[in-house]
Amino acid sequence: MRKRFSETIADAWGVPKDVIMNIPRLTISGDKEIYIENHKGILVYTDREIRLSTEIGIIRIRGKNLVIDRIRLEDVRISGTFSGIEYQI
Amino acid sequence: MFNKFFKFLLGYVIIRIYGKGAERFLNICLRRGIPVWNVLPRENGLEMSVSIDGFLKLRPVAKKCGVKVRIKEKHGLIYKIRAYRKRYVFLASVILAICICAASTRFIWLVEINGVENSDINSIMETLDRIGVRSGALKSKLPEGMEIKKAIINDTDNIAWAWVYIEGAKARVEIYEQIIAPNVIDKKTPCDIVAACDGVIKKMTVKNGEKKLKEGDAVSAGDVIVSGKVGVYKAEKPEEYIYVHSMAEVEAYTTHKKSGEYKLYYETRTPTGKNKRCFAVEFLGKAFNFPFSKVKYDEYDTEERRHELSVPFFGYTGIALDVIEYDEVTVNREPLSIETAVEFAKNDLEEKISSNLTPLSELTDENIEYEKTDNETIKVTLSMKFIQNIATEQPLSGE
Repeated sequence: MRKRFSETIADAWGVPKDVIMNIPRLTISGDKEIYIENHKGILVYTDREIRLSTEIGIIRIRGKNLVIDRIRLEDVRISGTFSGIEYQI
Repeated sequence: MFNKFFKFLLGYVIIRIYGKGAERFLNICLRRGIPVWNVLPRENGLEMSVSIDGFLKLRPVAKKCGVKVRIKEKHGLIYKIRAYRKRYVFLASVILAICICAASTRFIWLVEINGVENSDINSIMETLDRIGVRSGALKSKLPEGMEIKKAIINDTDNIAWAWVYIEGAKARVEIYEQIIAPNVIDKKTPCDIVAACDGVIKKMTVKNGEKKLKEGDAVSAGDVIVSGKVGVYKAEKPEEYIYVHSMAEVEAYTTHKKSGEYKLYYETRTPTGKNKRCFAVEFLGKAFNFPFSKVKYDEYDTEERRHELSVPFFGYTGIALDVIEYDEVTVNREPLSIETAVEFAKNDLEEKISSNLTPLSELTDENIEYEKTDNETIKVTLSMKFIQNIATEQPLSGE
């Protein structure tokens, strides 16, 4: 598979890919909290499932009592009890 | 905290979004810079909080997404003002309360003294009262800080530093006491060696001074064992004395006895779960109890809390709420065997005796006796025998 130009630059300069390629960065704290940077919007939001649009595709989070604690244009913090995180690329 | 305060100040609404485009509505809000928070999923839509400014920009977004927006709750200062604007009596009461608070902060209603451990707190309070730092004093008539400091230091012994901080209607007096140096006698000062307690001398090593007693002699506390007044005898000359700093080690057999009364039961206090809260309001230096503050419990534990009303720029307003919580308890008495009670008494009495001993005392024997004074009490007497150094320096009286 051909590399994207930005990915080549990131590899060559040793820069984190989320900075140059705008790909999502996920910070997961156990099964209780997820902090996602570089999302492109909410697609589905229920208390059992949240789907987020990102540069690399859709990220699907499943669980119980899911709540968006804080949402801004660039980042989102989700809390609840997670049972799965899935990439739909 | 500040975030919440500013949100309240600017005002915000909690809205419900109905329709299938609720997520799209949220994304467009973010893209258009409309701040939203507390986003919660609800049946057939979402619930979120949005500022008043943001809410006014929502109409085109809702139209674009085909959703319905309904206000669920309104929060903020502007809505509170609107709600109370026609309640004139309430408004007048609030203004009056603010005026009273502002006026009361021009007086001192509470004098708090901190840092007193060994000094006489009553003497400090009398001094403060004399110079005008008292409950009800006008703040503008208070003396200068240096004057208060001088008065406290001059009137009370062992005070190293003092200062009065005025915090609203409260005068906080901070006291720093002097650390008193241990009474060590200078090696050049003449002194006697006296007995620290009663005993029989076992062994003496005199380095300086004149022996007054010998091994085997019985001494009482305060008896001179080695004198600092030493006679000098020269032929054909009158008797003369020199005064020296006596030094000696005096080992003696001593007996220490202590007794006390101890109960033959152990008390436990178990909360029943019933409790009562009583309130008292402190206003203008006086406490006013709320009605129905009588406690009917036979046995109870109390806990007191004080909440002082402080306002920004004024500090303590002179108004405080005292909350006293009474927790009912049942007192259970569990009987103790005599052996257990005696063991407990022994530990207690040993601790009391050891607090009066000189360092490096050697225990040689101990004896414990008890007698029942009634069905619930025993009198325990502990006698401990030691070999200890009883030498204590005492300055010579001015001869």
